[in-house]
Amino acid sequence: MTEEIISQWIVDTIASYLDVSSSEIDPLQPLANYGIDSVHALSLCGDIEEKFGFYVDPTLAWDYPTPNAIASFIAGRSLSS
Amino acid sequence: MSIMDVRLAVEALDAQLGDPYSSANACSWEQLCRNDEAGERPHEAEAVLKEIGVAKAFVPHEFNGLLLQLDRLGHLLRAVFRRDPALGLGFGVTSLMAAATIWTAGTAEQKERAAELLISGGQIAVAFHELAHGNDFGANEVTAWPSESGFAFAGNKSLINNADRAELIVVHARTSKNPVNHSLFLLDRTKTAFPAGDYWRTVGVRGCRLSNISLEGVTLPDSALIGALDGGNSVALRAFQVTRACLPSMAVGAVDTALRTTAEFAVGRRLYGLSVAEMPYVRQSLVGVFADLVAADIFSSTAARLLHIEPNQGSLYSAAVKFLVPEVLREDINILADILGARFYLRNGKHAIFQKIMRDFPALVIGHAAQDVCEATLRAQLPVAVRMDDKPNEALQRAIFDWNIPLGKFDWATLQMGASGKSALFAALHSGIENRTSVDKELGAIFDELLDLSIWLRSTVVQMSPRERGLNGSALASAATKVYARLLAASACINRSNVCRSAGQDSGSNLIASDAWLKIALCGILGYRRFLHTDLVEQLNAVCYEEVYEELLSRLSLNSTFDSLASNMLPIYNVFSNKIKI
Ligand SMILES: Cc1cc2nc3c(=O)[nH]c(=O)nc-3n(C[C@H](O)[C@H](O)[C@H](O)COP(=O)(O)OP(=O)(O)OC[C@H]3O[C@@H](n4cnc5c(N)ncnc54)[C@H](O)[C@@H]3O)c2cc1C
Repeated sequence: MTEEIISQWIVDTIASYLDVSSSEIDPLQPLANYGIDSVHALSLCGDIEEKFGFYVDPTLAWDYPTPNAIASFIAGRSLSS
Repeated sequence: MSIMDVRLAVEALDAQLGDPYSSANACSWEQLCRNDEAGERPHEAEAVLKEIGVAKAFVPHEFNGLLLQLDRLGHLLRAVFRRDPALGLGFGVTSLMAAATIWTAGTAEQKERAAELLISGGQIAVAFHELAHGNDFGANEVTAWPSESGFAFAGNKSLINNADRAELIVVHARTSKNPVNHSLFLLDRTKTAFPAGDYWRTVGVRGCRLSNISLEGVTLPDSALIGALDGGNSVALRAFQVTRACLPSMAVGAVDTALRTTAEFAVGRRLYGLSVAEMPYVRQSLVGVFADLVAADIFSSTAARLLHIEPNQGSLYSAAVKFLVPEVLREDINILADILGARFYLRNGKHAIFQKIMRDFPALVIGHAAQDVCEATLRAQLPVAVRMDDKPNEALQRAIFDWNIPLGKFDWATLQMGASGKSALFAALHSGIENRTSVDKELGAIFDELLDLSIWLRSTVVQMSPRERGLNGSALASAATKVYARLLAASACINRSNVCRSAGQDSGSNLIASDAWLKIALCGILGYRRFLHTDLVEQLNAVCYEEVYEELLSRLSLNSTFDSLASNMLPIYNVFSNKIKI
């Protein structure tokens, strides 16, 4: 899966948490700007594990603040595992 | 160490705490009520705990302590909570919370220092709370920034237990703008002196001393940092899984005493020519509380065992225990208060310990991750929570439910913030039901109900939109969370009962092995006993209540505890007194 596809998946997932359309989420903007909180971060970990098969800490959303940054982290992890 | 050894250790501890009925004894209910009336720390009782070295139970084995297995920590400390929950909180629990962060992420030097202090009877305070932010500790404002000599601090913490005397304090402080980026620091009072503010006055736990601390102008060396810079919330969310599972297990002890006080009253008091305990409502209530207490022990101990066995699901199991057990026990205390009548309100006389427990108990619940916070943790992770293998691993199940199987020392490094993988405890609901032999009509009906709920839960979670699981989650998501926690508790009870059936050697496990206890406990978990007067409940009354009531009476007359250990609270022998091990 390319970084671009992963990033789009993150955007779609975040949009579904916030009940907004995906076009409202900019993959280059920090998620915190959209009001992502610690509970969303926990949900995101579960969804990432479901989709990609590995566990990530909920701090991911702050360590890699934008959808693109998360996507490149996930792509790297997928390659190495 | 077998379960029999754990019972002996608890009895040895009780022997050293002395007779709870003897007013001259520092750890008696009467004396502890006197301390409470005076609004003073129970100094003499604390001195006894110090002399015995109870705090060794909080310290890992490799640092000269006794802590190996987390389920045993709950069993042992329960003895202190049976005397007085405020003694347990004041002497120990907040120290355990603080220490948990150090065992999880501290340096060898910090661990040695903490171990030494606890073993010598000292306290470690845990300073997270700020009045403005409560449970939302990600918003905490006490700030630390790099300075010439390490870190400089600004801001205030509030309601910190033991802040006036603790030699070490674990401080939670913001080190970055990011909401998740706080850090933890170990403040050593012998090196950095500063005063604590005035005491807060409280309704319960009046023997605890809560005060504010000002960190304005405090500086700490780099070596004070616990774990990674900016990693404080991660450390806390991992370490507190242990305390979330163990604290409710300890709190079972407070309800043990509430039940004992009430049962003694009900058996002794005669009205209309019969004893109060003979009235059906009273008898059923006493039995119901007894059954819940055993179930609470089993659920919290199972979660503690699972932290060893399935640490990747620890965030779920510990939150489920902290979510469900205190709520059930608090309701139980209210039920007992109804039975005690006027006596539940009296601050002297032989039932006075009851009103103290009633005031103290809520503090155990508020103090550390509110019920709603635990619910949010579970709700966000529901899809992971209901993941399970169709065919559970038998060896794994044995390790979880056979408490005679030793788990070795707990590895703090294995805890993770969120949950991953699959849930053995959730899957075990199905296998536990399948493995039960000779299931009669009533038990079969209860099992069907549990299986239906588990099917409902899984299909509901699959259809639920992610938004529903968020902070402003839907009522349906909340209901699903409640069902999940209750199904985990049911799974623990059924499987533990199955193990006791195959082994059944003593009174504690005979009760748990019985259909009578299991039915009453499961009806409690399903919320039937209180809210639904169905045929099922009618039948239970006739068939099961008498059997469990006999056990309650027998424990009362033998001074045995009501939990799964059924240990003797007034051991006449003292031969094990120097051999407390857990
Ligand atoms: C006896 C006692 C001893 C204490 N000792 C210490 C100590 O040693 N160290 C320390 O740091 N603190 C201590 N505290 C303070 C304790 O940490 C706080 O009380 C606790 O953090 C909760 O904060 P709060 O009471 O302000 O509640 P708030 O967080 O303001 O909660 C208010 C309401 O909002 C709900 N709520 C909060 N968050 C959520 C969420 N995520 N989802 C849904 N609902 C939510 C709560 O359930 C509650 O109903 C102590 C308190 C007491 C009473």
